[in-house]
Amino acid sequence: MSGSRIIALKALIRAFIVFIILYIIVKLVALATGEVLIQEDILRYIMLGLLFLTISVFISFPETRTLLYGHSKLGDVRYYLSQITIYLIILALFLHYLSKVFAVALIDLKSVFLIVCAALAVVIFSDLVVQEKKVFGLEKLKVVPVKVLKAPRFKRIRFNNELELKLRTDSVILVIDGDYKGACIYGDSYLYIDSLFYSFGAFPRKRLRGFTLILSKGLKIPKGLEEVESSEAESYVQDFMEQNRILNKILERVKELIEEELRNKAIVATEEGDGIKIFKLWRLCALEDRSYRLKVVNLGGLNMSEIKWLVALRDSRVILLKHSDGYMIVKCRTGFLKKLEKDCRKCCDV
Amino acid sequence: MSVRNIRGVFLRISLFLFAVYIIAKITGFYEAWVEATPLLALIFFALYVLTHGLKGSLVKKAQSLAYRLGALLFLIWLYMVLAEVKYFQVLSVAVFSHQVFWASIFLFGVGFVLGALER
Repeated sequence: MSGSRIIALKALIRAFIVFIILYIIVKLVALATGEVLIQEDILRYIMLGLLFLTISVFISFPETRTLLYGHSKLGDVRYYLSQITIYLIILALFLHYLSKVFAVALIDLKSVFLIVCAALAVVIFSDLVVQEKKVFGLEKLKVVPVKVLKAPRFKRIRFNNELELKLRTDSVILVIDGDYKGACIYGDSYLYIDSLFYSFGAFPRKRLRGFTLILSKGLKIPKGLEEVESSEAESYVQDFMEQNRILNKILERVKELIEEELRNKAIVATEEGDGIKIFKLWRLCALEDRSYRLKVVNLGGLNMSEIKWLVALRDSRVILLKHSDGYMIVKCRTGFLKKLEKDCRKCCDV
Repeated sequence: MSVRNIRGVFLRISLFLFAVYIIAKITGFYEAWVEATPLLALIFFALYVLTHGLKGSLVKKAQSLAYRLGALLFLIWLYMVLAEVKYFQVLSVAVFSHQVFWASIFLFGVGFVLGALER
């Protein structure tokens, strides 16, 4: 998805450079010979149009969009309104050119000006006026295994609009339900995420080996899969319960870490009202817990509340989650839980 | 509202005013007030820069801001004197160099008095 945008951006930048060079040549020729090769106005308007198109493509990159607008509903509205504004400006450029060169006034330019100004005002000021309230989401995940299925390789499992998994080997799928729908995949798989973060290096590669846990709002399991025998299924259920325990512990630790930073008044702030807690994590802020070698990086949005989806490797070594306003990467060393429990025992003994 | 939020609002207003000016140029819309938008945008941007790192109680913040604004106006007055600019025209209002000078002195005075209140 981003590939075509990159090509478009490159093409637009090159076109812009071509027109700048053309503009300079026209100016130089006019200075040297007095001959006007082309009307300067046309070049100016084309250059401006290209500039705005470049901005439009640039802000449509997932990374830029996340950094500028976040992923809340209001953020989406602001993003689309910005795009509309840019195209309105390009239209206004065209109309202005017509009125200037051919003295053709198709529509009243004042109304275009007022509409564009109003749209810009909404884009710039709306998030100050409308503040979205959300339910806080870094709570314990309440999910239960539903069934265990055998799946042949190359089957695809779709989770939501952004997440898709393609099995690379014969695998076992443990279907999960509860606060989130999801699956534990026992087997190698390819993960396709229609979004930004491969470029941020959340996972070392697309191919995930051995175990993947995905929690999301939806799940589409391919039809006609066999169920695993109950004795064998039990071991997968046991393993999932352990993985879920580790995941919950890490999420709890991440929450504690954020609250510790809050007390230190470092890089995070919080808002509380009506019993709802929302963390405000600055974009690209990184938190680190040295004792457990736990690293948390918040990409994009400010308002950390609900978790939209989550992808974790075995022992939650790497967790990638999308929250209500952006993305978060959590990395921790293996044996986090053992060390945590050991430290906890030490504290209890004291 | 914290200082950080207020700074954010200043920056947004400044951006918006600059954008309005650019859009007016692009759409060919002209009214006299449009010509004042870049100056207003600059003023809000200056406020955004001047409110950086304000700390302490409300009086302390006001004192700090008065000193900073006074220093800015003094610099503007110095520029006007050196460049022999007699006055600035903002819409129909003319701001003379001596007015800028006395405004800067007044703001230094306000900062000085607020400092006494703080103690």
